Amino acid sequence: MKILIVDDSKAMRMIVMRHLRQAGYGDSTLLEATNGAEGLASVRSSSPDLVLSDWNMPEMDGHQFLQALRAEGSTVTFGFVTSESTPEMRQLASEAGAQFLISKPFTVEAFEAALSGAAVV
Amino acid sequence: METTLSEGVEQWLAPMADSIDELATCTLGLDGATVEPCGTQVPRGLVGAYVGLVGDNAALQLGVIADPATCAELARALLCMEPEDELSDEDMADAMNEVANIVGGGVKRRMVDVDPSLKLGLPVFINGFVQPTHALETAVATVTLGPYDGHLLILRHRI
Repeated sequence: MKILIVDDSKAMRMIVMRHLRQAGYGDSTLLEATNGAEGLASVRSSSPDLVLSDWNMPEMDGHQFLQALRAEGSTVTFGFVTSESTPEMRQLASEAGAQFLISKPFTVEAFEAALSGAAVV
Repeated sequence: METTLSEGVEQWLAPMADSIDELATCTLGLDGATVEPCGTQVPRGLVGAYVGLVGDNAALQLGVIADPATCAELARALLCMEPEDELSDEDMADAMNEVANIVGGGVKRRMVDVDPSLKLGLPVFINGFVQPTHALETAVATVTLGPYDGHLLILRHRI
């Protein structure tokens, strides 16, 4: 499985990778991007099976990134990993085509539940 | 009793304490955080990350600050670095910014029912003293996250 992690914070990308390993996705190929624009290019070139993206990022935020993906027909499984998790933002995420939203700070169990709920195996 | 934004700046300490407790447990694998209010005097000689939280009725800066060595150790823990790995200033700032970002998001989540207009800004790392002016109310608390001791700082603009 190929998983793309999009976050402008190197620390957060490291934390997400650690949680993925602990959640049983240690054999996956992990790709990184630092904003939505880089993420979009990475999806086009690498065709990941799953995208985990922050929301607030410079250049292109996570919501714009997801909208751009869906606009060009991508059906890649997409989840937000963000400190922003109000009901309004969850609704925005869902309407844009996100399968799940994991709120920071998160647990390994939150990753397991979100990824299994989105049928990511 | 219903919470309103007419209360003092101290009302933001409780959601901030809950947020950093959550971070300590979930992200650092520690046994929570201990937070003790310690007045309004901004401590000197500390560095750290700040994030803005702004709404129709509130404009705040939330800071997580500590001495540089503690910030470095906390960053190393967040980045899963080995003792022999070198930590750059940028990596330390990035890690502390993420701490502030997570804490700020947690405060917003806990206070959005009180003020639905709240918006979270982007964090910034400041290596220096933030001088409050008469336009700012302050609240300060000590925070202990396992081996890491620091301060939580709230600066609220008088609106």
